[in-house]
Amino acid sequence: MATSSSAPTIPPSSGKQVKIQLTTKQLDIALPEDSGPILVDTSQSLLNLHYALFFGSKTDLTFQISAEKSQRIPFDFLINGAILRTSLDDFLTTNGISAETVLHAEYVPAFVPPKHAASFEHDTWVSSIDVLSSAETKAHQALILSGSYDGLMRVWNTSSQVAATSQYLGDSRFVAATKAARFLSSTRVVSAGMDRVIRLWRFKEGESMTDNSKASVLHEADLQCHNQMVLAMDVQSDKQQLLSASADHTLALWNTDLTTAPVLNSETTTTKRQKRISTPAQIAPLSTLQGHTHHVTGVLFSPHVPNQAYSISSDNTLKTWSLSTESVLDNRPLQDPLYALTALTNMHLLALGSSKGDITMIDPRTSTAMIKVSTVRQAHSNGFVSSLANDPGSQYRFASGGFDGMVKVWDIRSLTSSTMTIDRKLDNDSKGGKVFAVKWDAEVGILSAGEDCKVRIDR
Amino acid sequence: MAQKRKVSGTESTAKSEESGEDASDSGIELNGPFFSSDDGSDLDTEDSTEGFEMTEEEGDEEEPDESDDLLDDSEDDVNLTDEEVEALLSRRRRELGNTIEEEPDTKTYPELEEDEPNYEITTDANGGIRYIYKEIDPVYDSDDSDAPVTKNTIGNIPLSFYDMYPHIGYDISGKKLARPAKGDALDSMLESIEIPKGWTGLMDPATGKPLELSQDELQLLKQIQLDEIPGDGYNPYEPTVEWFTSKVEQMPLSAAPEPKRRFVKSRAERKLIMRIVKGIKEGRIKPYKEPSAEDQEEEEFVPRYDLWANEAPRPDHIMNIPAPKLPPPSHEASYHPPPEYLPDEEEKKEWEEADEEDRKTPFLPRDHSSLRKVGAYAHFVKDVFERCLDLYLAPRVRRSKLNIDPESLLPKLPSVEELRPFPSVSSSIFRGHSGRVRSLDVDPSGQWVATGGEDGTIRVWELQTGHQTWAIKLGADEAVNAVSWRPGHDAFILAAAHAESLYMLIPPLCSPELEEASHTILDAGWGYSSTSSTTTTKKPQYPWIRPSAALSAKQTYTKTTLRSTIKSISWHRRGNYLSTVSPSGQSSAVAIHTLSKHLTQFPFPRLKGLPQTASFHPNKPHFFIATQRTIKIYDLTQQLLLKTLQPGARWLSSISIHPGGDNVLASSYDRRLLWHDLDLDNKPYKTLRYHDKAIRSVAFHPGGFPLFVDASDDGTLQVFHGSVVGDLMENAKIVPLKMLRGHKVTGALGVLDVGWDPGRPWCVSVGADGLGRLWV
Repeated sequence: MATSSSAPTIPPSSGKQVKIQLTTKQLDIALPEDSGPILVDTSQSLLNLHYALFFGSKTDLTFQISAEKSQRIPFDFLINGAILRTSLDDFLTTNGISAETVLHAEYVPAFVPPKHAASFEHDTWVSSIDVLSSAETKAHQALILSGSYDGLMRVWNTSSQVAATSQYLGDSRFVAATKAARFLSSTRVVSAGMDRVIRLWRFKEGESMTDNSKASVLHEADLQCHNQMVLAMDVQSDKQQLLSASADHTLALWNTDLTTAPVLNSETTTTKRQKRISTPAQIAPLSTLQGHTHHVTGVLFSPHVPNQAYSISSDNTLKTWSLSTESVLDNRPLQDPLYALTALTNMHLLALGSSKGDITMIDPRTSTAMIKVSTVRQAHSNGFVSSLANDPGSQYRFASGGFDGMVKVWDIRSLTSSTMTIDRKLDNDSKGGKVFAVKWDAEVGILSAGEDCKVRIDR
Repeated sequence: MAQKRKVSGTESTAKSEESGEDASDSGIELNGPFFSSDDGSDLDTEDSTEGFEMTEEEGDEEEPDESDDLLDDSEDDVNLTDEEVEALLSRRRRELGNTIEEEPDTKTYPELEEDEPNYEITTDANGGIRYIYKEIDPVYDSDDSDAPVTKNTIGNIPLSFYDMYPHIGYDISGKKLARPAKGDALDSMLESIEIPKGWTGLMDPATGKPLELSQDELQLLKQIQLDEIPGDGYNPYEPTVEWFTSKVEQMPLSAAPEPKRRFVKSRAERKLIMRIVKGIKEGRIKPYKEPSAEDQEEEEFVPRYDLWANEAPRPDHIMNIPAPKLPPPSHEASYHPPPEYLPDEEEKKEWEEADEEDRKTPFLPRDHSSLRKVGAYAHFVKDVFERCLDLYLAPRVRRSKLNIDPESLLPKLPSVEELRPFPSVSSSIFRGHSGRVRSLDVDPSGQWVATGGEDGTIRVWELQTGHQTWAIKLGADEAVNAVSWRPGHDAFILAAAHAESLYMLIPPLCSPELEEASHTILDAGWGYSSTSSTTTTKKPQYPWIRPSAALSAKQTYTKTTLRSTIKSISWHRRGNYLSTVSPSGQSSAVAIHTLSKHLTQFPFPRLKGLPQTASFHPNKPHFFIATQRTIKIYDLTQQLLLKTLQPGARWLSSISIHPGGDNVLASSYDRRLLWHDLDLDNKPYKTLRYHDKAIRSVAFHPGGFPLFVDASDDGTLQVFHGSVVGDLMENAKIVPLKMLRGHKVTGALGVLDVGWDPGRPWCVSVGADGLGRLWV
């Protein structure tokens, strides 16, 4: 790499200047040759850095990226691992960095705020969403699964059409809402809700994108063991395992492969009601995990360790379970009841949402003594972080949905403020519009579902 | 004049020393500095003498004028200027001296010689009384042995008045002074005779005789005219005798200050003083010279510096101990005390006979008609001395004050942050009721919350999300006043009070096993009631019946109807008993229902006061009934009244018993929240008065969090930390934590009921605005 013969000229400016060495790890936007440290005016904010980058690229004739492209991409600048959000001057003062040192700034493409793409209208509140990526579907189009408070599941295509709707199999005396719904595979769906039963459904796609006449969701099997409503589920597709979390303080591990799954002993189910709905296969759990003292509100297979899972509960704890030994490996007490859980896989972090609206980042690997927690206080103002979803496109970002009607995107490199916010509040009342579920799909974008009876997609 | 007076004064002092008071008659000594600038002072020159009493004095003053007149007549003959004449006359006067001065005295004070009348009484020609006065013999003090000179006493009137009379006036004895011979006879005689020596052709008005001047006098006049020294014997440079000098003399003439009695105003002095006084009154005489414009200008340019401008008051020295103050004087010390303070004779005597130390007061109260008449206080010096002695001899000690920071006396409250968790924000909202929501209860598992409203419905909501999952309408007109879940996890039964009826419901939200168990519990009583009715053949007064088919289809299982509206429900912890209170029910106000027997009993038929609410003790067979003003605690097994708490409120609204069982919270409609410790008195241990309006409901957290919350008509909830320590030595700790605002006040009603999630620090409230709120 040849250094440029002359230092890039910087627009005339007043005030302090600081030397910045710009680097990037992404090859497609990397500068073809190291321009060396450039002088940047500290008094201004990000504009100057954008300019510097752009300017540096223009002067260098050997620069390969098209100027138009670099113009269009807004960058974030990472200095010492934190995203630069204020002016350079403030940054230097707050971090106590001398203006004479050369700052090593890594530039990354900034998060482009998604725009509202579509809304899927429901009859009632929508409690859960899942996405089947286009690669797995026959029509090569992503499918969206939503579970709602009318106890139904709906499969949508991306053009806001209902491909299939499940049958209501819950209690006839009240509407048993669906609390969780997931794709097990491209052909299987699982749902659970207030009627305490986890149901496996066989999903058949329509023939084509437009023709949904043959698409269907058919009841396949019941997974029964919970005495109270099921609040959350997680799926490990490759091992065909399912974890469910219930308000009866237990977790249950299920085998979703019906051929090998243990069948529930019919003698134990003596009640009439259960017999009536037990025409499909009755599956018993592989194991039930008892240890929580209140509702278990979230569950997650460990992305790193096989046969390990995390669960959160209203009893303020995060527990790490060994599924093979059915025992608690680690118990992390926190301050408030927990309601949302997601893993930032590459960072080895878990993000937890609490009833106070706080989001806690916790590393589940470290021993309890070496716990390192960073917390966003009042991430959601109205209490309850109801859902968390990590960004499949970035190891640093995740989205959160709260009962205050907001979907917020966070970057763990700058947790002081959210990167962007999607407002889903109902217009008529500021208190309405709770968000119940958030899902971030690489293809579809950020999906959020809530009290406004909509699944909203932002892309 | 001054000189003359001085001379006479010195003479008179000598006399006054002999005759004492008579000194006032004669001598006037005016040596003081005040009078030294006698005639030359501006006082005289400025003013006329109008307004003054000018009586005999005028004669004296006019004397020179009179002589002027006389001199004027003879101006042609002798060329004398005014000055000369004056000098001449003054000399004559000097010679005549005292006679002139003494004269008025005898006139002014005739009464002094009254003892011996100076007249004789005879009869005149007409037979009337005639006073014949003796000849006045002027007394001569001086050695001057000159024959008395007759003097005309007519005073300052023109002599022309006497032109038609043969006399020209009267002498001191009133005898006529004959006009000197004049006219032809005399002229002729004079012409025949040589002009006598010293003839001037002037007439002495005093005597009426020709004024004759001696050779010496003529010589003197001549010398004065020539501006020469008047006479041979006259030494103009006599050494001055400084009687009063600035020098301090070895032997002063008199060291004594001038005695006051010497100062007797003469008329002239009085006149002078009056003149000065008048001048002062009128403002002509000023105590100081008025500054002229120039002076003022000068003053303005003089720079002035206030050295003490920035002087800050300095504190006393550290060792300074201020003298203790004496009590202020009372009425008896007054110069004119009220009569009751005045001592009577006995007291006076007693006081006088007592030793000085034994006297109550160092003085006797005395009455004076005015302050002016108060004499000097005889014991003044002594008192002051004793006071000084007291201050000096009595040791004074600086008593150090207790320096206690008032803050430190306040109980140490832990910070609110340390007392987490507690509900602080409003999260989910339960929307659906039309009209006020009267009551709520959270089910033991913490998933569901049941609310009862004035629209006659019971609604069951998912607690966390606020999703209405199940609802039942018990009736249209009457409100559901109370809902309460059966405690325990073995069944899922909701008791609800709608109007006079008590319903048992099993909402279909639980697992089938639980539902089955609930049915079993509720159905147990059917058999019992039927068997018991057959054995006793007596129909129970308040039977439990199956509700109508429409309600039965909606999971309502039993119904019992009492006499009056049920306002509150309370379960026993085991779930077999529950109590209902219908305040207007009189003898059947408090009912205890047995679930397993479908039995309704009224164990408190003679309860004083209106019962408001009732509650079972959490672990003892005790029963609490809150009437309008008291809380009564009964032992159910022994059927005894154990204790009566007196919260001191006018109208209790609700009570809550701490899960430990030793503390009771009572809320009242008169805005008070009262914490009773049953181990202590029957008076409240603490009264919390933080609400603006009536408190409707209060609840301890049932599941182990040391929290309680109250709901008020002002639309707020207040969350408190209330931890009870097992140790008897320590009292309960109550800390206000958070005021939860959100409910709207509609129709003067705010929050109507409040309840806790049993497992989490969350509370649920329902209000008159038709909403329920979850606070997390």
